[in-house]
Amino acid sequence: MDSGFLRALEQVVGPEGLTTDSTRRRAYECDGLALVRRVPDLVLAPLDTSQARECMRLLREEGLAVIPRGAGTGLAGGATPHEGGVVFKTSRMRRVLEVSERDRFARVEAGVVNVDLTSACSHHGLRYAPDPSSQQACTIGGNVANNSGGPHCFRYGATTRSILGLTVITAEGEVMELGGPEPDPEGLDLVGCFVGCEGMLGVATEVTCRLIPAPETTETLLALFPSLDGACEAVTELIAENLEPSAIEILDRLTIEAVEASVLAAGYPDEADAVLLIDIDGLAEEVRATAQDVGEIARAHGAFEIRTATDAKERARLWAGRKGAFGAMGRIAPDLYVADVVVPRTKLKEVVLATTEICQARGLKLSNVFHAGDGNLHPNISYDRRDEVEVARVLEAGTEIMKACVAVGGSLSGEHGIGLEKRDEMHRVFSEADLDAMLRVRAAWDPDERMNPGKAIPVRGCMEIKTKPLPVPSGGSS
Amino acid sequence: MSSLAERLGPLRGRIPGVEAELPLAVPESEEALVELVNEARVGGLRLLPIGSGSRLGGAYGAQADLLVSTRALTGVVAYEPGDGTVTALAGTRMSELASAVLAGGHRLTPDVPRPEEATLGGVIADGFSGSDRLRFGPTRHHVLGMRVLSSDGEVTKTGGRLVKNVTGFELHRLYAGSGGGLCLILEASLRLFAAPAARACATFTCDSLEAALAISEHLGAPPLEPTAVSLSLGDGAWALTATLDGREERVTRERALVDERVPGAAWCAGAEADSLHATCRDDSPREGAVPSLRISARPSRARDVIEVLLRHSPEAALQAQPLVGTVEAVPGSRADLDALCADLRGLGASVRLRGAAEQGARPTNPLEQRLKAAVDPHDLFCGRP
Ligand SMILES: Cc1cc2nc3c(=O)[nH]c(=O)nc-3n(C[C@H](O)[C@H](O)[C@H](O)COP(=O)(O)OP(=O)(O)OC[C@H]3O[C@@H](n4cnc5c(N)ncnc54)[C@H](O)[C@@H]3O)c2cc1C
Repeated sequence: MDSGFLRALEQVVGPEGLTTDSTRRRAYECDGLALVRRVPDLVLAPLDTSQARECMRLLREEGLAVIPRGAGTGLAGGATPHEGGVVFKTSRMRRVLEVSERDRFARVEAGVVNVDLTSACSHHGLRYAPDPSSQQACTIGGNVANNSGGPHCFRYGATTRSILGLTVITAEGEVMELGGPEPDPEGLDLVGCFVGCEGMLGVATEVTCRLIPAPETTETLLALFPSLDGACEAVTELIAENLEPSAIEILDRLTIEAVEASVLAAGYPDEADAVLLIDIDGLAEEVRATAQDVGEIARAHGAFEIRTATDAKERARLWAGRKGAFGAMGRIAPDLYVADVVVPRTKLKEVVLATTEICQARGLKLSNVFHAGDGNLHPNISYDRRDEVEVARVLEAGTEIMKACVAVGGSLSGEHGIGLEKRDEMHRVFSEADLDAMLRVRAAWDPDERMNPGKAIPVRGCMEIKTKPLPVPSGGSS
Repeated sequence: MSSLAERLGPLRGRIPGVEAELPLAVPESEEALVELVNEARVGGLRLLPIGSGSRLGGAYGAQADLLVSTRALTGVVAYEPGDGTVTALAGTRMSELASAVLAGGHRLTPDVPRPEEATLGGVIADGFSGSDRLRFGPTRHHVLGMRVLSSDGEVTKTGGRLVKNVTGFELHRLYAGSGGGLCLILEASLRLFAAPAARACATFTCDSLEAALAISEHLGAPPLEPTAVSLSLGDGAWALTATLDGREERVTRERALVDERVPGAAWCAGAEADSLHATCRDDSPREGAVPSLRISARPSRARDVIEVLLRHSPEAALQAQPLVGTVEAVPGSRADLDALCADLRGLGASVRLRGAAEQGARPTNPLEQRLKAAVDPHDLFCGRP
């Protein structure tokens, strides 16, 4: 890279904001999807919006691709610089800029770690609802870009429902203030359009997040099932009965064993083949009544024991086990392929069974820990990336699982996004015209397609499609 | 052009704030709508998409050659009670949709005013949120996906029918609230919530805005979580109505909490509460000779917003959701409208006018301009958010 250009960047971000050294750059060759790797040409870490804007302007002059990156915990290759380019990371933008107790919002820099936002507002009796299992590491900017979920999104919705405003820098170096603490900003919903864009529309540098009051009471239940099927059926009925807990998660036997053998041992029972971990929030009386209904439904589907966490410490332990489950799988094999698919909640049992068959047919080791209440499955396949044959089988199984979901009205991703991993599967749910509509919107934000190129939308002969002649209507003249 | 003229027939529509009547097309099928869009584009006509026409948005219709209503495209396409989602065609009335999902134990949100007039497509395109927004959030949060018709006559899909889904860009978020300026909504899917088993309404009558807002603060303080709190002004008195609903146990406890915090509420429950809730919901002022204003500000500015409004127009009709930060208002006259909007914006509020021909016909924000050009390159649709 041109030394004058590098000097100009260094003047903006200082030496600590610029990584040129090839060994250090290697740390950014992939995100949580370890199967695809490419070392970026440069890594930039601005300190705030103004530095970020200056950097983006310099990058524009060079015509370089920009790959936004938070903590790199994404599991779909969204932050992988697979076509080279400059990784633009937000890890130095970590300030909580404002917390408004009265209007229940917080304004933070994009690199703030999810759990730090909750800590920053908890003494006001408020919390930030989206709680991805990676919340100890992932950033609010990454959550915005992926429209991330988490166990409690069952009741409170994915990230998009908690984002009020954004400061975004486009590939052209424009700083855009989108939305804000008012409930309905004027004009188009640009915030809603940006959330879930997987870094392809711009870099978010500041985020205004909606906060919600902490509930009066939370009860955590652990329902023990002799089979995974029973647990799935119970969830389907909880939904059909319109019960509204705040989180409904399933862990299967292999996951339980892995968690219990790890430092996060949560006291999950070894006699169950599957457990339902359920949080119920609200007023004490309401929580009690809902817990009773949940218990009855669970028993009707075979639960042989319902445990209730006795105090906050036990509750925290149960949830730490759930949230650390992916990490705990490291005991089973060196690598873990976390599939992320979504189905109607009426189809849980059917699709879980299908994923088991798909993996069994390929001799793969499958475990399940997932956001059952939202129909968001995570079939996790343990494998060893050094074994090429096994890797091929894992990828094939991933594709088959997606097909099985789409076949019952499901979709490719419930929360991890499309990234590189699923980009070429998008035609399973969208037509060429649907994908072109996305490309058009993208072009309005980023005409040169320099933001995170090659992600989420398959590369097709779309330019011809875009300019195809318009149909001539009968009786009309063109 | 001739076939288009033939197709149109005798229907005419008028947009508040615009003198001339416009031809109104009400295609009976999606195919007819596609043909109409193709013909209009080739003929260089500009369309203003509408639903039932019950609340025509800002009257950008000054620029429209033709009104196109989706009101004849009706019906529930899919209702999955076990999955808590519903998909319906754009012309389906909100009241019909609400009854359909109630049969499966669900409530439809948004709970919009006069649901027997409003269509699903119109509500979503307008960005209108219901009286239940305090508890459930704005309409745009519950739209799971859409099928839309673009100005080049293509039908495309965004999102899906799943309660959680991050497959592809969420273009439905862009289309929701776009006011018919980007595309025609053909069909939409919504997330549903549990129908309440019990409901109670508390009413407070106050002689000052300050007193009413103080009560509303108590109503919004945790652990209370009312479904709606609405404030209106009539005959010099402020009426504040709170709707509490959900499980029986919840409503009983919330009632007790309200009585403890703000004694003196007039209560009703059950069918009476349903009816009072519907009356308050339907009471939102409607534009006529004078445009309506939809004002949105941080909840802490609700008082300033209402005071500014009444200072400019003491006779304004208004309904506020103070805990959300929104106010619907129709000033007494249009004389002072610009100054009023400027003062409101000075408070950091956003203001959307409806029934005002003078409102900007084109987006001014450069990104919105680019989006408009990208999504509707023919500049066929003349609605605005
Ligand atoms: C153990 C584990 C558990 C997980 N659990 C969950 C879960 O429960 N729910 C869930 O949804 N996900 C989960 N994930 C996935 C992941 O943590 C989320 O997608 C998270 O939001 C990514 O945040 P990040 O800061 O690591 O972003 P990154 O991985 O760095 O980036 C993710 C995407 O966002 C873009 N991006 C990052 N920052 C910005 C920005 N400021 N502006 C614009 N674009 C940006 C990147 O280009 C990339 O496309 C889990 C991952 C792991 C490893």
